Amino acid sequence: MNHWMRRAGIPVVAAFAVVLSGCDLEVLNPGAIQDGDLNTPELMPVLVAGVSAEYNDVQDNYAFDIARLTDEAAGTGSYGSTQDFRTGFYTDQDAEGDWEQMHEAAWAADQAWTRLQEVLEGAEQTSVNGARLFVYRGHAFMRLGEAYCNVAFDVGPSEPRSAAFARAEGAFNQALTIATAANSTQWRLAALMGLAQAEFGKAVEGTGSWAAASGAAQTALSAVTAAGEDLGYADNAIYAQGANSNIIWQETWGRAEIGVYRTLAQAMFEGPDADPRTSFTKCGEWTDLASAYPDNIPGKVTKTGNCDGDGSGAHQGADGDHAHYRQNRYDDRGSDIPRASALEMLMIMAEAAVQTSDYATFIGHINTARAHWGLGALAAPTEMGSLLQWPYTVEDVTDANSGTALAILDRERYANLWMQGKRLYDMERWNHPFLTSSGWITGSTSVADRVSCFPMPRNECQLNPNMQGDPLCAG
Amino acid sequence: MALRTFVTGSVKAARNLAFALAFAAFSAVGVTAQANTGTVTGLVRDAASLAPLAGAQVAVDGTGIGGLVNNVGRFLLLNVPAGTQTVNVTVIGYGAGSQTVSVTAGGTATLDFELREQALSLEGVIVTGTAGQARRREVGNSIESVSSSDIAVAAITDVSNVLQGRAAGVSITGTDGQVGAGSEIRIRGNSSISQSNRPLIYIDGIRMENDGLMSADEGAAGTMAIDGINPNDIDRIEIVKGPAATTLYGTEAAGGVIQIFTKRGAAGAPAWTLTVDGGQSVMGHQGPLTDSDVKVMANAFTENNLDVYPTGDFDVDYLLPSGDIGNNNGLRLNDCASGVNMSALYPSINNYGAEPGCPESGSWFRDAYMQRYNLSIRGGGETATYFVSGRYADENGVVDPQGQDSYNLRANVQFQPFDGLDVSLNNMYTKRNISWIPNGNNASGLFLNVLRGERGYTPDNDDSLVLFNDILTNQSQWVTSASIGWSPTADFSHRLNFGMDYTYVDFVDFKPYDNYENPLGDRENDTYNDRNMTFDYSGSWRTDVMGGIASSFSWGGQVYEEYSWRLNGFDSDFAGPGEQLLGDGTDPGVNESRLTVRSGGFFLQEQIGFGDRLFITGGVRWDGFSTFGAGFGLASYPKLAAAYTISDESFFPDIGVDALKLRGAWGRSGRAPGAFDAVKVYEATQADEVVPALIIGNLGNADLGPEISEEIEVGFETSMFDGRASLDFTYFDQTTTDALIGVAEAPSFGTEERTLRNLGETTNVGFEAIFNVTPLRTDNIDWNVNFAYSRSRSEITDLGPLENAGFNLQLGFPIGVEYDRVVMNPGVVGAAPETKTQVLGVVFPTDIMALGTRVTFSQSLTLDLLAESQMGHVRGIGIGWATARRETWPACFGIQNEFNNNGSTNLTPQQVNTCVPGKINWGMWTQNADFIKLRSASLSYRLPDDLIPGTRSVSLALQGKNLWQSTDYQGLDPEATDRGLDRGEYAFEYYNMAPPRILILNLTVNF
Repeated sequence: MNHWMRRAGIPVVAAFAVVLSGCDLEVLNPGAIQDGDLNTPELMPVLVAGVSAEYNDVQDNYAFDIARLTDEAAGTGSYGSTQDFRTGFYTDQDAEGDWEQMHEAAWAADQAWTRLQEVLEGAEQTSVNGARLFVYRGHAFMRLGEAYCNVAFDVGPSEPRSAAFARAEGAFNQALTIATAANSTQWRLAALMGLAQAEFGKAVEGTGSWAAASGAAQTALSAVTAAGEDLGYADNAIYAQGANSNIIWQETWGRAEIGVYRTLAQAMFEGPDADPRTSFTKCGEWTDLASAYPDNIPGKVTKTGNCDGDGSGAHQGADGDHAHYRQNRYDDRGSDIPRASALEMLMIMAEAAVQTSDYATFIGHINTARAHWGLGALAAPTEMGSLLQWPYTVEDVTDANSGTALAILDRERYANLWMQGKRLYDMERWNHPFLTSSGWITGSTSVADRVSCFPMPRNECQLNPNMQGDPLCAG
Repeated sequence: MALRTFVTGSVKAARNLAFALAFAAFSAVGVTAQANTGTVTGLVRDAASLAPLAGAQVAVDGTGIGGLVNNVGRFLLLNVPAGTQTVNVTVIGYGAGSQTVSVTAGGTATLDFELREQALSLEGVIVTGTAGQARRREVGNSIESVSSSDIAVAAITDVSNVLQGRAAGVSITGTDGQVGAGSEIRIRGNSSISQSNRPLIYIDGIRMENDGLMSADEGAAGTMAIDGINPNDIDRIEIVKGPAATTLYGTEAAGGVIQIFTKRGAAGAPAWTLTVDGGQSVMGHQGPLTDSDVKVMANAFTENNLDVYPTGDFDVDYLLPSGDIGNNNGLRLNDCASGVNMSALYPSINNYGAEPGCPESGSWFRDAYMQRYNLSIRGGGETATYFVSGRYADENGVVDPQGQDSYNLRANVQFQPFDGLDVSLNNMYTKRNISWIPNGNNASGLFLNVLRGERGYTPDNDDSLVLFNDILTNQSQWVTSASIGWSPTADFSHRLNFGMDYTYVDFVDFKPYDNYENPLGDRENDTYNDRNMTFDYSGSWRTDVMGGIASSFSWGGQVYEEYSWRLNGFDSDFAGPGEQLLGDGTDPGVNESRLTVRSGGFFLQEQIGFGDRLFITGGVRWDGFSTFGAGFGLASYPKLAAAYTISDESFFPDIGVDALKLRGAWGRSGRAPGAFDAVKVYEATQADEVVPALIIGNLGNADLGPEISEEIEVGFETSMFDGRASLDFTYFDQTTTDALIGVAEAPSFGTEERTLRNLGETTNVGFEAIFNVTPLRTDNIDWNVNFAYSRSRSEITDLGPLENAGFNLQLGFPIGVEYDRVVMNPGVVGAAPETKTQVLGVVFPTDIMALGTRVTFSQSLTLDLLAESQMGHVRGIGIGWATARRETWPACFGIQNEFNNNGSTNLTPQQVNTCVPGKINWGMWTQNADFIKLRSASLSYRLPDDLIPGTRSVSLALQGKNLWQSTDYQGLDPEATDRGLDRGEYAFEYYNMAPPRILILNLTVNF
């Protein structure tokens, strides 16, 4: 063998190594933005808008999930989650997504605030963007507290949900300070209404007072009025075609995952008041309602022609079993969902009045809200009474039980806050009869006790060392 | 004129040749024999089919005189010394031939060889998994090969079919019945939790895209790049099965490697081959007609848990009357024109009426015709050869207008400008135009709406309206490569491969103006480009160290880049009818993505051979990868292998064993993380009233590296009774460590983003056994039987802090399982169902069996059969689950009628949770999906050689695909898979097209 041949491989390997070392393996793909490129003042509004997107992206999920878990909507769809939720079945795995996303919304707001401080060097204290961040953060805490039985923050141990309301209160106070300094009416109103929600949560959990809640709601309402706004005013999670569209619209207009069939909403809209707050459209109708088992399989659905051209499931539920009664509250993919509203302030004040059996004050707030919708005034109740019993009867939507404060509160809060993600917390704190009813809205039976709040998510139990051994994770 | 070539590691006899190859265009005109020498000429052909064996090596023993067989099977040896000479012939995949001949001075002796295919030939040269080429006896791991003769004889519609049942350990699943749909390929099952388990694909030495090119989401199907190759162009396919063998391919090769070699030119006058196929696809009857067609169904969990389900409990009694179950139009797919009044049998079930939109033929299926034309030419001279081919295929699907038009062109050219230098240029262009029908889990899907009847989504149940939509894939592929081999001496060689695989896909989903779903219409257009660049060099140096000890040292490296970019546009609400484009509507939108992934690696390998019997090989490859974390550095993959042909030892007893090779190998390979996994990035989005916004995209992991798959495989290969029987057995044990898992922080930390970490571990254990026997071999009959059985069992053994990585990835269970609720009190009449969520089985087949036989009569009439069975897996019958919930699945009518009349009083929880709407569990519809299918049946006849003047040979063949199957699975078909290419390690059926039966009449003319 020639000597040169023995050595020929060496330069070849060396040459290849040179080629290799010269090859740039550090590919910077377009589309993604590096963390270090964000530290300029011009990008702060964009970063804050991102936090808004994070929050909006999960607010409608809460509303959708809670609608399926409560009597706000009939789960007539084919998603596995709908099949479960409508029977009141909701596991620690089901609880993961909303928990993760809402925590991320709060975290993103905190991260953005830190960057605002670094980049704006003090100007963030008078920046509308700073106020916005704390409003988003406060509402993220509020939604966690309203929905989850217990909460945990910063990889800490579990805490009662009142901890979420306390954090929310802190965030809203900071938002109020900054919004005031920034002279922003919009975000000042948002902060005030958020504060009222936080006080309300604290009152329910026993760490605050109903008087404080009512007072905060009154303060917010007065500010709304002073700003020249009416009772339709709301601080909204914003949805839009081309950005983040409203999932309830998608699941009712785009397809037919949930409907109004056999809900309290149906009864109210079809009642003597034709309550506009729960307006809906019949896209399909049963042809043989006299079927032997109407609770289960009423029979064939016929298209009404009212919903032509709007989604492939326009006439029947996506499960193929039920007529589709389509909600009209969110009639566009860009319909916004209130985070807090003037009407909610009235409901907080009304519920606070019930605590002291001040029925006159109570019905005054209720009627103020009804008047906004063009509905007639109700007479003041004379007794506390009881909540509406499921399945709802004609009396539930007439004045036959108007003498009972709880029934009115139940119905009016339901209608004013319909599909805003508030109903589950209502049901739990009231121990609503629906939770222990033996059926689900569209028939068949439910689990023994419906879920009344979201359990501690399984992934929090698995990944949080401070949750090890926590009884909340035993299930 | 003499031409020297060096084929490193070729057969033992050929290695000693001086390679004085005489390629005088075989006209032999002007060739003058020298004094005391003569000429030997003749044919080398396949003994069974008499097909020419172009490229076979012919040598005169002890003289250094040799040559290659030309494109029509002829060889010519000049200047052969007069006297009695022994002439040897070798070719890959065939047993060696040897004959003596008497050569007279100035005379020409004729000598014809008819060689038989040999399942096991230790002298065969293989390329895959080695640094350069190696003889099979030198290789310590299992490598399998599929030859062009296998392709020629079988009913093939695309390249994936070639591998189906023809290579042990290779599974082809996820098959959709729409023409053009791709399949999932696995070698030895799955070993990765989060990364692709697809094998790498190489064609003529360069990498080809191995991921799905883009799914036609509305059609629930997608294409694969490998299916763009013209099967007629393939010379052979080599399959390397695991990390022990793929080490030198580096990162991303842990799922195995498929090497495709296309045909090369051969010296000689132009030899043409024309192939004409005419065929028909037919869909068998879908669904039960009578109660006897409704097989008892038990979910997979019940069958495997007799303690929970006492024997006798787990079959569902559907309460069907005997005989006709009122369903003589099946599931309304085959017969949609006639309705059945079922009120007598099932008073509470809606009538099963005719469909308003039913085609005039009365069936949604048609007899779908295909025509394919393939023309190739092969030839060349002393220094240059070529292979050029073209193909046109028009293949209709079984539902109008589904189908594919495809065009293939190939030009392979080889140059040998001077001794030792070999240059190959390979070029392929393919164009495929596919029209899909909307199907699958899709409100616009045809099957979904037909089977759901009046509970579908179409207005007035007119399901023909869904076919109003246009779903089109137009796909172009270019593969161009160059291979330069330089061998300054017989023992010292270099090879450089470089080239590009480029694919362009134009996908359109168009719902025109005035469609029923969105009357104003909408349109989606995806344009996807994918470019894979390979630059690959390897060298080897062989030398005899001392008596009987040989060394082969190899080195090399590879640079690879994939660049893909995609534009996805959407628009809706057009002003009027016609072929509206993006921008013509009122809601245009677009998304753009661009990704580059780059890698580079190099390797060293040393092989020591002892007495040409024992070979020990060690090597290592180092890789850098653009997707590794900044702090990771290079990945290294070592290997060690041994091959021992013990039958060559003097002590080996003479017991009828021709050859016995023992082998073992250990090695590592890897899988790289994705493009953005290692870096912290933000993503642009839109918020509020469509204002720009930024959200966190990924937290990044600077230490991120590849997951490492390590494998030990041991086995043996033996040939017995003069090549009439062979057995190849391999046991493998894979462990994947540092498995990539997306792990989130505790959500209360704040972000839900999962950071990919090297935390997990999986195992994958199995075996492959291949038995080949020739029970009968006479002058007129050649009968061969081939049996292969393979098994792979994976398990997720570590998930870090997690119990699962998705519902289908559960700790302690195989990769890819079905996991859902089942009834735990199945047989208690009237009881409320008690359910529990369980792992119900693995969704990929764990056991695959193939049985094939080929009989040739009088070297002209050949019958070839191949059956394949996929076993050990379960499948969710989503089509039954979703249809039963709407009271339109006939098997459930009896139970549903009872429930509608009397509630669950007289029903068992098993019945209720299988058939009663509102109660049905997916888990109850998860069923054993084992099946056996007759993959290919072919009867071919080669006409007498002189029958048609001007031809070299003419043959006719009748070929069938999937003509028969047996399964207890109660969905449409155990292979019909929803979005097979998008699901990762999960599969189920959900209103998908079953693979149809295909019958092809083939005419092949060589001239």
